[in-house]
Amino acid sequence: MTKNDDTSRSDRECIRVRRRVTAFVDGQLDARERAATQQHLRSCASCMQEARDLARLARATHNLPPHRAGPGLADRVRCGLADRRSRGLANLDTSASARRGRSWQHAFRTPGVRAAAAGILIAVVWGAGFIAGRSSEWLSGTGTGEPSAGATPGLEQRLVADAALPIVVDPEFVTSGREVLADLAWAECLPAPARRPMLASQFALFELRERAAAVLDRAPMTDPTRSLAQLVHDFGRTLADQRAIDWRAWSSAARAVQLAVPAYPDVEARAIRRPPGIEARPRRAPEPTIPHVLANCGAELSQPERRDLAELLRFKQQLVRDTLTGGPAAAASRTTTFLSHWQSSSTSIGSHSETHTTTSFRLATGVRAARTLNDAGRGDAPELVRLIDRMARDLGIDPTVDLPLRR
Amino acid sequence: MAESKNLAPGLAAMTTPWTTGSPMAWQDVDDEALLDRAARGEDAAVDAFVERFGDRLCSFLVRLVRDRAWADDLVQEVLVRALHEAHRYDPEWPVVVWLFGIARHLGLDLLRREGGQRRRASHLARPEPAPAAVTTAEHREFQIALEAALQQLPEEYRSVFLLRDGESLSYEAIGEVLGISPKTVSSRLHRARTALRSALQEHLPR
Repeated sequence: MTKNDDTSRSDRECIRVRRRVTAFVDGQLDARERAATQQHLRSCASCMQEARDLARLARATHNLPPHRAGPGLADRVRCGLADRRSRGLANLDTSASARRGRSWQHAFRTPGVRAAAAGILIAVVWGAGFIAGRSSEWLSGTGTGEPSAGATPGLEQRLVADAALPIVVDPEFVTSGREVLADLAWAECLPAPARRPMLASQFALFELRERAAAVLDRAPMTDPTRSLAQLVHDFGRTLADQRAIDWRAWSSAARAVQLAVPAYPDVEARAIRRPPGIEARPRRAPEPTIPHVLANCGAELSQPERRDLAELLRFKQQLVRDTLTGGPAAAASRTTTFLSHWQSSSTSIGSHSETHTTTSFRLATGVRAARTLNDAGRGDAPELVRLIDRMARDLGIDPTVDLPLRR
Repeated sequence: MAESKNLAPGLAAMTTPWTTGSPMAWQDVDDEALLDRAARGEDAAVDAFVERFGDRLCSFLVRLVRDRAWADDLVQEVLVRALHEAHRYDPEWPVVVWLFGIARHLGLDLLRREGGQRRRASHLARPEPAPAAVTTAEHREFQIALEAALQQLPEEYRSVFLLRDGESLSYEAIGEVLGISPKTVSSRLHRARTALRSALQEHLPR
């Protein structure tokens, strides 16, 4: 063996050891590697010096001095969390959306959020499916949940079965979907003359689901912004062309789409825009949110009614939070606590001149509570449904609320 | 109706069970349990969660994005997202690994978006001073030189270094945060330290 061979072998060994010396200094080598490294360091002064230098640096830089988080971080986190969780309920005005879009934009370019956006879209479609299913009952006058004669045979069953599948990918948007449904359930509580026939094209709906799924399947590779916006917009137009959707149903769907705004700013401009053919919101149309009622119907409401509605709102918010964080069991627990109050105030409706709007809200909240209990497999759900039915009949409201609870 | 009214607990009684919470020693609650409780919306747990991880995330993010104001926004976003998406947490790894994974992802995303246009090393807040007993002029000078040298490191080396020397994470944990193998962690850390050693040669304590 020549001297050159020895030198070159030694150099190669030095290179190998120097690659490992940081891990050696950090104690991250296994026993065999550690022993081999130690052996080389004992016989190689330059590598030993390298190890000493790096150890000295590691000692000096260990435990970097901290940067303290800004003041009020816990409060800001709580607010951010509440905001995130209640976004499905919030009345999102454009400026607020824009602000959020700017500061949160960076957070919404990930596959996870794309998946969440998928959830939103599906929730929208799911909500619209609910309209479709319900409206066919109204039109046929059966109220039994059976497909109407005009529907494509088998398609409605397919839609219903499809809706039961766990296709919503994020629990938050399951709740968002429920919020859409809650609003729609509220719309159902409207007195018959105020109801508008909302016959959605079931085939268009089914198509949309399929096409949205296809777009979102490609989402990791391509930015689905435009495709989603176009789909939602087309969906609205299809329904509008068939006079199958009114402003309320559209705005429920649009609000859910708005949830996606921070992720896909283009969606806002294109999907939220009212499709031609859908009439503008009637000036005196009741709003589907309790705060709005509190703010705008103040003169009509007595103090106990206002307090009562505030309580309903608080319950709704708490319920959403519980559903998000604790699942159906936690939501059911809160619902039980709430119900005794709800029942006592609701059964006294006839005793004072409560407005139709507040009655409708109360019923919608009851429907929601019943659905929650039902989801949790609680035996008291049927009792609540009976109460809702009785109230509705007493008030001359069509008792076809929340038929899915009827077995 | 009268019977139902008898059941009514009244408005005041309604609110009580919805907002229960008892004081407890949060230091005895492990990270995972704390995450779970904070994610369930327990206010005191959220406070404890922020207290436990806020400064650590802030330290990492200030040095990652090199801007104090950005880092403040990001810390909030990381914590909100972690609590909001707690169901995504993989208990195979410590909570802190998950948090730093989110932090680094959001930090890089922000840097990419801003394209370095707002890179403002001058806006980088000075770290908290070390306790008086260990603060010497030399030590202080070393810290300043170290922060400056860190700013010059490419992000891939800087992140590894911060997670190792700032957070004392294992190579495996760092690999999980960054999505690289422990061997790659080792080699990046070596390059980071070698670069820092050259930059800090004259400041290194003997």
